[in-house]
Amino acid sequence: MFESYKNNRLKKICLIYTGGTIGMTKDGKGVLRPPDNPEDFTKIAPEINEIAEVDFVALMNKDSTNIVPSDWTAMAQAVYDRRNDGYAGFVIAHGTDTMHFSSSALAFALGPGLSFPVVFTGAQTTPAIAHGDARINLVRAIKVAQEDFAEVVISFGDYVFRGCRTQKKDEKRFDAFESPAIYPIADITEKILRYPIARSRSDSDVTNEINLIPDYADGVIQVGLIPGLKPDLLIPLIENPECKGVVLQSFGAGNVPDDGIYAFGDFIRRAVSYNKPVVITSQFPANSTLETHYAPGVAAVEAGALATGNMTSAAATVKFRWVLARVEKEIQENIISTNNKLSRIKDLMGEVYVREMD
Amino acid sequence: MSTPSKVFILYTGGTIGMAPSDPNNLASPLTPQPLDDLIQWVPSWKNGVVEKDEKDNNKIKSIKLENGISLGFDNFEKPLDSSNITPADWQIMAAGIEKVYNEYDGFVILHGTDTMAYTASALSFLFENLAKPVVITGSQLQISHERTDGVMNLVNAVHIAGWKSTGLPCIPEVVVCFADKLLRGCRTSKVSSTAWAGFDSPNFPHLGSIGEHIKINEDLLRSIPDEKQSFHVIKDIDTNVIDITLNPGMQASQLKKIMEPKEVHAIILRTFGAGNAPDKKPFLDVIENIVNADKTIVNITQCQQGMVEMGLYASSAALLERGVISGLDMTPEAALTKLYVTLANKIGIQRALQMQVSQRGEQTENLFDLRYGECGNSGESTKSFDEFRTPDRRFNVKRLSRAVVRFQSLGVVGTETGKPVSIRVFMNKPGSKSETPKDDPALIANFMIEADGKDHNVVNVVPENTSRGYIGDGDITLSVRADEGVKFWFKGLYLALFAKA
Repeated sequence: MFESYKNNRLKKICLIYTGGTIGMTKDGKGVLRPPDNPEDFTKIAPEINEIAEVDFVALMNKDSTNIVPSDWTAMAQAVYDRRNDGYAGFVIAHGTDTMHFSSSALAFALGPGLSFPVVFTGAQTTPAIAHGDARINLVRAIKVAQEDFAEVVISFGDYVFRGCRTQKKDEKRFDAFESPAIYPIADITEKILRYPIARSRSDSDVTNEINLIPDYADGVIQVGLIPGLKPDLLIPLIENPECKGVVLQSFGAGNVPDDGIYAFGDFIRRAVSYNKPVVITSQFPANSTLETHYAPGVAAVEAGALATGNMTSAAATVKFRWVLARVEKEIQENIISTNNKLSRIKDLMGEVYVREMD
Repeated sequence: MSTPSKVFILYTGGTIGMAPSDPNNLASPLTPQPLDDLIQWVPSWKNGVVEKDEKDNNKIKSIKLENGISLGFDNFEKPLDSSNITPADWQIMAAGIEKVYNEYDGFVILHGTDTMAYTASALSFLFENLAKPVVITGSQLQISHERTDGVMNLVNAVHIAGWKSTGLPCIPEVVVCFADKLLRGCRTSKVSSTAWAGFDSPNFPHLGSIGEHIKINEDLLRSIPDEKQSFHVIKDIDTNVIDITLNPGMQASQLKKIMEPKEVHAIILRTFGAGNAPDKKPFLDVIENIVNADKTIVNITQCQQGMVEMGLYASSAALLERGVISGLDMTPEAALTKLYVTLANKIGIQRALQMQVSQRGEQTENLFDLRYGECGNSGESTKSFDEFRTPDRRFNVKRLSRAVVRFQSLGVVGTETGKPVSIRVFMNKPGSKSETPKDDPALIANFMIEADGKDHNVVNVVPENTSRGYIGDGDITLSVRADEGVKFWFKGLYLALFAKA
């Protein structure tokens, strides 16, 4: 029995299992695989039942490398369907490789109306590793989900991060994630130490009304700008009808080559003429690509590329897919015309929706 | 009086020498300024003896400093913002240094930060038998700015390049000197676009730290090449490479489309975690077709820190088997520039080997992937298999860290359908029989496979005592044995040897 909870009524937490290392077990051949019976998952940390009343949902059982946007939709829907079932919060157990993509996706899907925490967690080791992080991360996430948060977060190691501002930085160490542009929103100690930037259940803009928008367009490809990349090599990419837009991952603070045969201006203008947006992200989102003072960044934006502020590359890519799906739907429903597609995408990309940039 | 030395400074552009394009409007876009405007901002150089250019009296040719270092200068005709640096510019830098290589003791390259790590990596691979320091630096704020970091970076870089005068050890490498760190060039990544400490080497210790003293970790330095090995610059590179970042739900068909043009020779694929990519058939089929078209795929991780561990797990082994090259723990910058050089002069299996073996200290481990071929199929199975392979001459068994054996599509027929049977792999013991005891030290893997007629992909890390005891400097024979009455087939048998670089 764990002290602090002895005589309190336990809060209800919904634990959604999607797969990942945190639940992996070794089979007879010594191969790591997801548990045959996902219910076994809760047994890795029996004490969670002493700190909360945990309902378990085995939503899917996937290595996170194989998670696709329709899985994001399923996760968002699973939370949405249970939003009025009396849960203090939700925990989603997920593989680490693409957790930051999924947490970004759910942040956009559930939107600013979210009035409770949706806590992603996972692990670098399987539960079988005695000194590993599977059990502790799960227990901590169950704790975090009861706290005063009203947003999608990642609880991992000693920190709680905003879900749409996080990226994976290390494939081995227990501090696997970082939030490059803002501080973590809480430290995990005996108490969960919230920072003022964390969104509270009592914040004035928390409406209790979730406007669920769980769709994401496909056909978005992410290309790194590397010295010597001739934009001509990428022309077949944007001419492919399956391609609906391009994310260019820039050097530094959003600079894009603007000199000679390596200049990207014509490529961007060509993509824009095909009605396909070009989004510029940075691997180092500490600085805003919007406020670039360097000529090469200015040239790209002038050619029609969309800057992404200090969003992480993962959040920017997910948001781009989410905006694209929204705008495609608006065109289908004749709310806007195809001619206004790019300007509508630009507006939505530039608008802060769930504090994904500032 | 300190020992005299000569340091050559090559100015290529970058923030360090930038100023607002309209001097009256501080918010106007920043553009690169000439070299002479830059060096006037270093206070300690004002006491130096200046020699002007014979032809152009406004141009500074050299400065002799009080600490014994004589500076020589050259600059790009048109200084560049570093996002516009191209491989042709790397060649100009390399040629610029080659021209004066024998005249100077060390070299400093002033460069913008955006692509500095690419240039540092590229020059590391382009320079063969480098015996003198090439120190790359720049700054986050222009040198004319009141809060500039440019003066400190430039002065520190000169101190390191002028090792003969300053008493520091000679670093025979391309290095990045930035803020408080000295980093191996081909290990360096940009980690922040705004912090003073904008660079780091996430998978390798710093070569030195810069504080009140400049402290060099001499144990980490590469050795100075023998005098007979003369310095030269590699001229051929192939830059027809595309850099693709995987994101969830990316369609395989798009990857196919990107690789279709014949001008595209290779891709750097930034995968998830430890080199993981979707293991669904359409994706793997596309990968296989790309490799069959003699195009190269190099797998590196999206994570800043960490190593691609293809071959250690069944899921990523599927990529290795299809001919994807492991980038191990190379930075994206090193993987790309190494690929540029490798693509131009290596073919087939040599290309994979060249990429997976350290050339300039750019990776922690070397990977030697030995392929033992296939054996039968479900219609035609066999009772035993023996084959040998010879690792590349660069393989040193004393540095072996891990050996991993794996089967691609292993199937068995046994005495009883559905019952697991044992498939055993022995190393360097061709005389082994099906009744050889299971505790024989030459046994490196014992896979329990269900006799269900299906294909299985299985992986096993070879126990350390076995791999140490049974791998010599020569051939490595693998023998596959099964129980009496059991037959097997497989599409591939592999031994991945990871050795410290």
